[in-house]
Amino acid sequence: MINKDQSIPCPVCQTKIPFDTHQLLTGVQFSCSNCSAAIGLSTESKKLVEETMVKLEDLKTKKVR
Amino acid sequence: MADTTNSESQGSAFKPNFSSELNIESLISAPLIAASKANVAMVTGQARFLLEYCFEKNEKTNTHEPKMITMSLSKGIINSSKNPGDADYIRLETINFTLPLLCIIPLSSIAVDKVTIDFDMEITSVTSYESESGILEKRAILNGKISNSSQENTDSSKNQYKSQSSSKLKVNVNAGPLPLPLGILTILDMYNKAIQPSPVEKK
Ligand SMILES: [Zn+2]
Repeated sequence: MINKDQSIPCPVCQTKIPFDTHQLLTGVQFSCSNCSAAIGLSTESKKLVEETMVKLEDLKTKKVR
Repeated sequence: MADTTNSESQGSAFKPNFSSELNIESLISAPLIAASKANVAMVTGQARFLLEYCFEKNEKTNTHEPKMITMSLSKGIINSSKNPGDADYIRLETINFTLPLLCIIPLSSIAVDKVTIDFDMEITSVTSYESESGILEKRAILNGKISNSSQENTDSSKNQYKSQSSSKLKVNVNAGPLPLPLGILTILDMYNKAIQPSPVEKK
């Protein structure tokens, strides 16, 4: 259930930067193909994203009744 | 593919009584209703997830506000006062910008998009009723039993068949990803357009 076209617009030039949330969590930065600016997740938000991803995983594995 | 699940219907959701006579309409509709219920469960589950974990309730205004995260943006900046050969000719600048959490959570809708019902039926009786619209038009109701596969394999005398469980009704459920609901796409689009980088405060 991975959203394949996950992307956010580059804050500099608005070009779409594709990214993967799991990789963002490991500290990977994603660079803009147009202006080579790189985006990454800040350390202060890592915990919140991590927790939410765990909750999402729970939702996916929960059996449909 | 991880997105696709193939499974035969099981559990409490769909359990027809194979030994009794069944109406062909209810036989076909039962797995479809089960699939539709599964879809509703998935959609409401995701909506609840969004409200619970990606939004925060503002008690004062009684509205839900998105939880925000901070992202960093690194960019090389050319120092025009230096020469291209100098070590600090290109300096890496980092600025922060905020983004709603839901923009980076890999949400997608998954739904049952194909249900295949495969069975052989012995028609045991046919009844008919007049349709509401026309006096001349009559509609037939077919009743029957799902064919029992044990009857086709009676050659072996030693191996006895469990006749109940071998009645053939195969339900194939395919689930695939659907595009996100328009409402969520609109929210994502709105926030994506409003991304504003701000300088990192130097500590
Ligand atoms: Zn860019």
